[in-house]
Amino acid sequence: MSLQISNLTVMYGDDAALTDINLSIGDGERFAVMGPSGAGKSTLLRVIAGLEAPRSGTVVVNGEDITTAPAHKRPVGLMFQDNALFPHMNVLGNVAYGLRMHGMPKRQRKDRARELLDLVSLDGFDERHPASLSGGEQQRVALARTLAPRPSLVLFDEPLGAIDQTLKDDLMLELISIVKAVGTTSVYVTHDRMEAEAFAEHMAILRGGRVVRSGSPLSIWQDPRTAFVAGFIGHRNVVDGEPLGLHNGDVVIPAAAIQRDTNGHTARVVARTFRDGAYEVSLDVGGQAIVMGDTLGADEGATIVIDIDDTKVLRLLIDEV
Amino acid sequence: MDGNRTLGGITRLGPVGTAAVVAVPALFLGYFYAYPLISITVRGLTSDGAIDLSVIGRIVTDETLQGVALFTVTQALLSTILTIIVGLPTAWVFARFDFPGKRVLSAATLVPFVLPTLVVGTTFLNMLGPRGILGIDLSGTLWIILIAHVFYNFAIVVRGVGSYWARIDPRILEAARSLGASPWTAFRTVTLPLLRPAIASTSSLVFLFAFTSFGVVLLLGDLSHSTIEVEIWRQATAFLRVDVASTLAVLQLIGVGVILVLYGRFERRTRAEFRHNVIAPTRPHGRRQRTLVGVILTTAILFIGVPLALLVARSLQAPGGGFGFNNYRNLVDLPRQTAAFIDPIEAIANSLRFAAVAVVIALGIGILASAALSYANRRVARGFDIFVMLPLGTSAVTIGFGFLVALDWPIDLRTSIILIPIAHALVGIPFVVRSVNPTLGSIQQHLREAAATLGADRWQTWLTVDLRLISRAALVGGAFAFAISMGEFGATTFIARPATPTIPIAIFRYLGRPGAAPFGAALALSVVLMVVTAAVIVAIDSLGSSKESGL
Repeated sequence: MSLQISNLTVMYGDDAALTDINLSIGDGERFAVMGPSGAGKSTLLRVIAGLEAPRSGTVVVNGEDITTAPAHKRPVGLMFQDNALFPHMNVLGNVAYGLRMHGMPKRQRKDRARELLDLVSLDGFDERHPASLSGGEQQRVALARTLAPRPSLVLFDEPLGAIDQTLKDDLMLELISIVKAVGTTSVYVTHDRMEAEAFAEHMAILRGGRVVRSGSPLSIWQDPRTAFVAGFIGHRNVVDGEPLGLHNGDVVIPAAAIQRDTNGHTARVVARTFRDGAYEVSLDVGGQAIVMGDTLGADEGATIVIDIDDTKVLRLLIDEV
Repeated sequence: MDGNRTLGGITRLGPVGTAAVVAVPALFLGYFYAYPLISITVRGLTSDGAIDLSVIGRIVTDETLQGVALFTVTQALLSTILTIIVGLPTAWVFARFDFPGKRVLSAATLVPFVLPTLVVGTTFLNMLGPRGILGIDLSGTLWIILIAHVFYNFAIVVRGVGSYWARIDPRILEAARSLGASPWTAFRTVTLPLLRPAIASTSSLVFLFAFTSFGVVLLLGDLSHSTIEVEIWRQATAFLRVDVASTLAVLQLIGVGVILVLYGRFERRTRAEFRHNVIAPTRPHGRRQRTLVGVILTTAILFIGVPLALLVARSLQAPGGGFGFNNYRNLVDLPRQTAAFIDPIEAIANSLRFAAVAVVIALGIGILASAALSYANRRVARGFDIFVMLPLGTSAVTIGFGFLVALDWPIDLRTSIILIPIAHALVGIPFVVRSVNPTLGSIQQHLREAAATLGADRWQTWLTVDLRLISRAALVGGAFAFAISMGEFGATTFIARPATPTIPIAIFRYLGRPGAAPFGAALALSVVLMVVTAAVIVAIDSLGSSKESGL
């Protein structure tokens, strides 16, 4: 199913939490919404889920306007960052809850709940209580519970936020394969660009309650357009291009565009650090901080000369926000 | 339109929703609590439809009533000071130290406080009364009343002051000691000033209970050693002077109001000053400390234990000397011998029936009131909170008397026995609310939102999430309501019909009769009540602890 969000504005008192949001998410698409904390990501999810009412704008699912529908009548599932598992019910009770609310007979909802537990590799956990589960197991139960009533749209609110880094990658792959297997449209909210890029086919970046860039992860990487987006998705060397004679505005200088040369810019080596299997040096180029791979071994404090290949430089627009 | 309005998850309700959740508990409390009190006030301050304060003049100039007022305040003041002095050492031990059997002892110190005041009276009548086991008769003196009040309020000081004492960092005292202060000087110059707000709030609570003391003073006092509370009862039931009783009740209500305001202020200050965490108690170390802790604990155990043990022992005394179950057998046999005797078994059955109904009412209204406090518009909720708590501070006699004065409109309920469990429930409701409300407030909003996104409407969410999560806290509140109902005496004396006596009513009647057999029956029934309340405490204690182990 598809999701259309048009001209959506949400106010908290006099403060705008979201301003004029427009998003279009296609049937079966995996979409990510990312941005720094306070950007309005969770608010957007809550509005789609019906837990928060917008000041203006519409939320349309499969052509049906659900802007004013109460949460329990929406075909939307929401998985919370803190799981929000019911502490007074066992695993099976949690997963079957949504089915119970939809009036499915006991026998069937038990079968359906077991099916879901099987899907998230938790068969045999029926009688366990949430408190006795590990963080990863709780997350799987929450996923099973969210998917059980077959929502047309699943929302994930930082689902891996509380998970150990070592477990995250495995869980993410599993999550993607489950979402693919179920074939549901999904919106994944996170502040972690790695999670967003791993999960999503398309994504939107929020800042201060506005969408500042959307597209596929690759297209955004290749053309971040603004310094904020470039920095946020992990580009390094986002600097003012003017003193370097590159561009009348900000630029991204990929590491591959920088080489030591005999003529070019004079740079002072500020620090030499080890990162991801290789040494790199932080340079001061006319007051601008630039990082490059250290291939020849430069000492801290030394002065070197570098050349920047300006065909590889990404030119950015003036930041509007 | 408020953009922050929540559609599915439960937040504060709008005006219509607020009215809906507040309506039932507000109507209940309005009719059974506020209306009788207002009626008493009108009755006390008017005659023939015009404001008439001449009764006040008569009361103020009446020497007997002057004496009663003076004695009420004097004994309350002395009771408070004594209770603080006696309670502080034990509060210190419980706050600072860990020792084997601490949990059991801590629960045991609570027993006198939950004991029906009539049983407290019987306990000391048994020990220091005309037929006293110790051979000293202190009845009709200030002393026996003071001792009984200290015994009854001991736990308030131990718990109230102790819980804040445990938050004082012992390193502050160590600093004082290293600067040259002796242990006593350190206590006087550091601990005591720090504890002052906690002592003030606890004192006002002890003062309130002593000020409105009924069962204890009724049994242990006499005409010149009487409280306003007892006097209201005497004027209304013995002399049938409803106007004097009403005016006295109004004066007492004003006194209670002042005390409650002071208590609220002290309590807020205490909470503001003790923000730190509880410092983990330690084992007493060193011979001196162990001895001191041992002496204090032994004294406390004796102080609590001896009167109760003597009550049990006396109840088991056989007529010819030696021990036996005669008094308990008499509970069954006596009624058949004397027709005018209240049937104790019937009294027990009545008490259980009333308690069952009172628990149902207290839970129903209490849970609704808690829901109202959590979901209603915030400003409405704050006012409602105070309203719900008020019956706890209102004297039982005033409530019972108010029922008699007021509840003949719109239909005459005054002869209906339903008033008995309703009066009991009024005092039980605050316990249910105080137990349920924090639990309701601690439920993660995400749980309700999860339920909503899974297809539960507001009502289903309340049933499947909120109600289920508060069930244990509700049980704790219900257990308190049960214990209160079983022991309630002050209100019941006004509204119990001769045909439907309760256990406390039966005890009171037996004590007023000559002869060893009724006295023995009173002791036996008191022990029965004591066992019931102790069992309730044990139940509450285990409910509380299994909550901590998580669900």
